[in-house]
Amino acid sequence: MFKLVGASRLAPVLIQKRAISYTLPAIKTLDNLRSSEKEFKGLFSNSTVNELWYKRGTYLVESLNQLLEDNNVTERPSDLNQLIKMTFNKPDLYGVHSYASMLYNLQFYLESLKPTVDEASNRRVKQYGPEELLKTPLIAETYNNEPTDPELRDWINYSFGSVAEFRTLLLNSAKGIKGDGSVWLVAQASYSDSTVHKDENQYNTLAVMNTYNAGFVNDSIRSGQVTKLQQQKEAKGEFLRKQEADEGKDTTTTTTIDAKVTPDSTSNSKNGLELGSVEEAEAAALFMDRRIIPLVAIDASPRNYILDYGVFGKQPYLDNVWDCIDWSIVSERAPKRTKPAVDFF
Amino acid sequence: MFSTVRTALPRRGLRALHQVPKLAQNEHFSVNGIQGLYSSQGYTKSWLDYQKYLTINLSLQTTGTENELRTPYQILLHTAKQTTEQHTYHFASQAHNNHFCFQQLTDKSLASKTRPSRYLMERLADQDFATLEDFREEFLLAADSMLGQGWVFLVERPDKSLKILRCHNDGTPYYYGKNQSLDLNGAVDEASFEVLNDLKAKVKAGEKDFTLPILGINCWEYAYVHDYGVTGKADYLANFWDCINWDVVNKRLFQL
Repeated sequence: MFKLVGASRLAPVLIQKRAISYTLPAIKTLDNLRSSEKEFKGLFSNSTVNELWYKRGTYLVESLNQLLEDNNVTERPSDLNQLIKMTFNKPDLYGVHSYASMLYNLQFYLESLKPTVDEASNRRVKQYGPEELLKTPLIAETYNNEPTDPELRDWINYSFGSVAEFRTLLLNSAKGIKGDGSVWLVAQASYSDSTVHKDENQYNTLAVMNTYNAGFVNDSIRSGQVTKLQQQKEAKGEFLRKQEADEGKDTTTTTTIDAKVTPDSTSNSKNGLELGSVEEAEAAALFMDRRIIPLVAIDASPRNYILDYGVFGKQPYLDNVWDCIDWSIVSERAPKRTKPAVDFF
Repeated sequence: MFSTVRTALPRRGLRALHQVPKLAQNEHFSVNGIQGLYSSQGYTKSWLDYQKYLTINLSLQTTGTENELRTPYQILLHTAKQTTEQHTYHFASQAHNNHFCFQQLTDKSLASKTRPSRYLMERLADQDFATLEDFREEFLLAADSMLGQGWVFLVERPDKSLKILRCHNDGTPYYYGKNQSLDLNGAVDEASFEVLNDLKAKVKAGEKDFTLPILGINCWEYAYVHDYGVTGKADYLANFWDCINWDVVNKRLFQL
């Protein structure tokens, strides 16, 4: 019988407490709404909060615990971030990594928000029709709920030009995510600065980035995997060839070993004219020594707006999320800013 | 130079808009939903609204372009390889897949009277699915265990053998380069790495793809969140299976 897939398949049946099991984290704003049965002002109805956090959150936690149990993972750090980092390079723990990461992302997103008293955004919580797709986008220089902390504003202006430009980039990036995913505002420590000050990460720019499905925002930990696998394969091929040669066989037979394990001419770019692969470039420079601290997440997955805003309501949903961002939390999360020694602006 | 460039479009003055295809039982479904699967509201959201969302966006992306007069199927094939056309591809692929899946559905009472043809069962037996129940389990498990949004298809390969194909997000079964079967978030294992290498080799050799879908299931949240809630995917999948009109599926399979 198929009956036992999904939620029911993964539901914990008599979990033995050999190691700690994770529980749904407490988010104060949401817990208050739950007990008072009120809606999340300016963003979600009460039932949607229940669906997105209490039902889905519980599902993620239970699935995670079950997968930890199934895979006999006994080392379970209380910090979800640690668990994610621990499992990122273990293909057999793909499920654990994914569920931990999805839970982390969801919690991070919901903790970035606070209800708004703004009437306009409250009015926007409704079902939308197809005409919403044909609307001209808002163009303004100032918006509701801009960050007020002068330091944060200054940093945003330095990184994006202005708060309005930052808002446009952030929300359009979210709009560009068609399936599951989140858009993040992150503080980034650049490669060059970190090499100068080896001991300390120098966070000098803010950036916007997208993650998809169970993607993890601090992605430097997962870079170079494909290159590593390629190298392993080449080393294996080299080893086999050597072994055959040692056995005194005719060297011409080595070509029959397995065409796949011979080094790929494109990746080695021996003739000097061909470029290397994307993976090699990424491994060489892009992610190396990059440090990222997430400041805000916006979950752009369909479930967040289908219920309260309807199939056509992604844009009003995103406009409302902006109005509900809690900038004081963002300022708290932000690392110390390193200003460049020379300002080129 | 320019006088040699000719297109059928301006000469004949043809214009076109993409619209929601009319399902044979649309009137019945709009009022009663699909018995055993959707309420009338759920049907409206997942078919009428979502398909409208896709076709409007497809029209917006394609008016005045070479794709204007093409069907979503043709558009997805034309845009699948073009990196700058992926918005268009998304709406075309989704519109085609969603239509493909809704064509299979009927009320549970009617669906239960249909069954897979003997020919289809023989092809499934070739893949070690001795009974329909075995196949159901495998097929729905592939759908349920897929993270994020996507589609799962039963496809027929050029040698007429069948295979379960998982397509993440807007993946399409028609072209191997856009199947999107791998999820490379997190750790990459050796099997995925080999699949990647195979894909690269195929693309380099310009290999063509003659795979055709026989049966599909929609795992996007648009298809189930309204009636089943955010965590209701498993129940939705089980009900979806019960509402498959096998007469439609049987006809899709190659037959002598």
